Amino acid sequence: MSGPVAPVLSVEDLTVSIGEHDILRGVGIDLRPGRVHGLAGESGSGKTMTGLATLGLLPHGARTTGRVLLDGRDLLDLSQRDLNKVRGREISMVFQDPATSLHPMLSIGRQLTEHMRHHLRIGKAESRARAIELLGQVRIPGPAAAFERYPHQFSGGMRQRIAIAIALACGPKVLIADEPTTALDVTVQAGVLRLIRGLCDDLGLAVLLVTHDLGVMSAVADEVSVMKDGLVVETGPRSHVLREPDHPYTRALLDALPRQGPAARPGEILDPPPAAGVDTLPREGS
Amino acid sequence: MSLLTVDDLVVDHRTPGRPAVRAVAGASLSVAAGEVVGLVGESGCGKSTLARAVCGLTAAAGGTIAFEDGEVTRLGLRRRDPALTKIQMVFQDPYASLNPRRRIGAQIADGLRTAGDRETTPGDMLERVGLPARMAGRYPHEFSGGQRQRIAIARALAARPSLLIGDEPISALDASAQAQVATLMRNLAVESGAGLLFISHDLSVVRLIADRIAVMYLGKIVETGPTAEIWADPRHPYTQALLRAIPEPDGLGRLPQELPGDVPDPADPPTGCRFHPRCPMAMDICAEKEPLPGPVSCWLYPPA
Repeated sequence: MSGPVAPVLSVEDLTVSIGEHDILRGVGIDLRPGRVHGLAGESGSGKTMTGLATLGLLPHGARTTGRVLLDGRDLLDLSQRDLNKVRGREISMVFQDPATSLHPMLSIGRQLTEHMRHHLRIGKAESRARAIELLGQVRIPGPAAAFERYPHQFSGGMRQRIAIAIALACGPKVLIADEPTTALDVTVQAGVLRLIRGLCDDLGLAVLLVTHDLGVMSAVADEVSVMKDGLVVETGPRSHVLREPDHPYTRALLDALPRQGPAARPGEILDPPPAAGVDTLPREGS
Repeated sequence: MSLLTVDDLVVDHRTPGRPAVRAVAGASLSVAAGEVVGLVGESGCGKSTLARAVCGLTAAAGGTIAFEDGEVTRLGLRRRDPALTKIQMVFQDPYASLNPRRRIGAQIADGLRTAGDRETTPGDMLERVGLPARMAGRYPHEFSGGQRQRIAIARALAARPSLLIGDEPISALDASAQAQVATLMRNLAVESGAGLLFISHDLSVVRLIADRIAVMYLGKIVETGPTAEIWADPRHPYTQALLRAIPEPDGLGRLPQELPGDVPDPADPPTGCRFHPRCPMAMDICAEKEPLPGPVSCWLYPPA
């Protein structure tokens, strides 16, 4: 679907290789404002790498080709210095595990205001007011009191909401969420998904949602891309990809899910087809 | 004819200077030989504490845990009662549960020695969990998370358990390894005729492998029943809320239902039914009297 809105972030023919391994082999994705773009696939398919590559957060020694265009600028060409102006300001990221992505020894307020003051050059009082407003926006009870508290004083779902507030602090155009609900309970996950969808609709944010969970994908994504072995094998509107997939791999992913309804018997579903080399060979010493 | 019968178990966590937290507040549960029971609930509801008590790792403050012909008592400093080595546990984090300084073969051999098994080699056990036997000479850091959990399963199975406990054994694993490891645990336990108590907060995986499901909320079991039945017709409002929160991959873009509120502090549980402050169907009696234990512990379904 070629929407009427121009994409805010375009990934074009992106390749990433580390050593002799080709991690991404020509990935193309367009993110549009107010739309959630889901990126599905097994682990090792390169979903997370795609998210990291757009922010230049790749491991040492990774080589990239292709283009990542944000408003006509190619992020892959930017210097570290210029890239730092983009990170957290125009594109921000939410990671899988809020227990490790938040700093345990800094207060929530400090973590919420630090990058605001740096990027937006605003004062202490102003950043504090904005931080409290953000905490309210992600529905943290008692935002003013929460400002002074530390990550360990919050539950997992609350921490992920705080991580989202931090990501939103500088008013980014693009939010990259890498498995944002995988570490959470289902009841909490429902709340976080509603929050992400709401922010996308209200703020016109372009969201790249990386997840292996096709249920999550179906709930919030507008467009879905399916990745396999470093390539996008299928892209399209949610209802099309999840209901009438064109690619056999998407079909296989959907068929691997436990059936809805009482048909499934325990033990009926045996090992899913092994992702080649992911879990059968020992990791190479790094 | 139960292998394990937990009756009205109470476990307290004591911290000096604070009121005791009743993590498990009168939970009853049974596991038969060859049966897979899934224990589900939100984080902090006491699932893991219950598992640790069954293993003898945490002392019970009340109630009984009967296993085979004896009773499970607190694990002391001395040698563990040989009868209780028939209960083996697979822990959540394989990065912490394997000794980083010993070869995995040696760690699996500990289990074999416990069972008095002189014929099986650690390599045989590795093959049962789908790893090549020649890897027995390696150290844990040489493996990925999924492989390490397989090694932990091999080590637990080496002791020939009649009850295998998995305490969130898949939550530290990569998404694609989760279903594989869970199915592997089920198949190995059922093959060897052992019971499996599988604890997880991930309902979709539990549904895949469990014969029976027990739903836990704030230290109590609120509903138990066969997996298919619970899935098709959840009766307790909490079970209903849990199932409604699972997003379905139907491509319709429906957001899952949220369960409002947080899990209350177990140190200060609500009066009456512990779920009533969050329950959409709460009645007057719910705040006053605790519902009776049963297949569904809820005032909507009064015992006949």
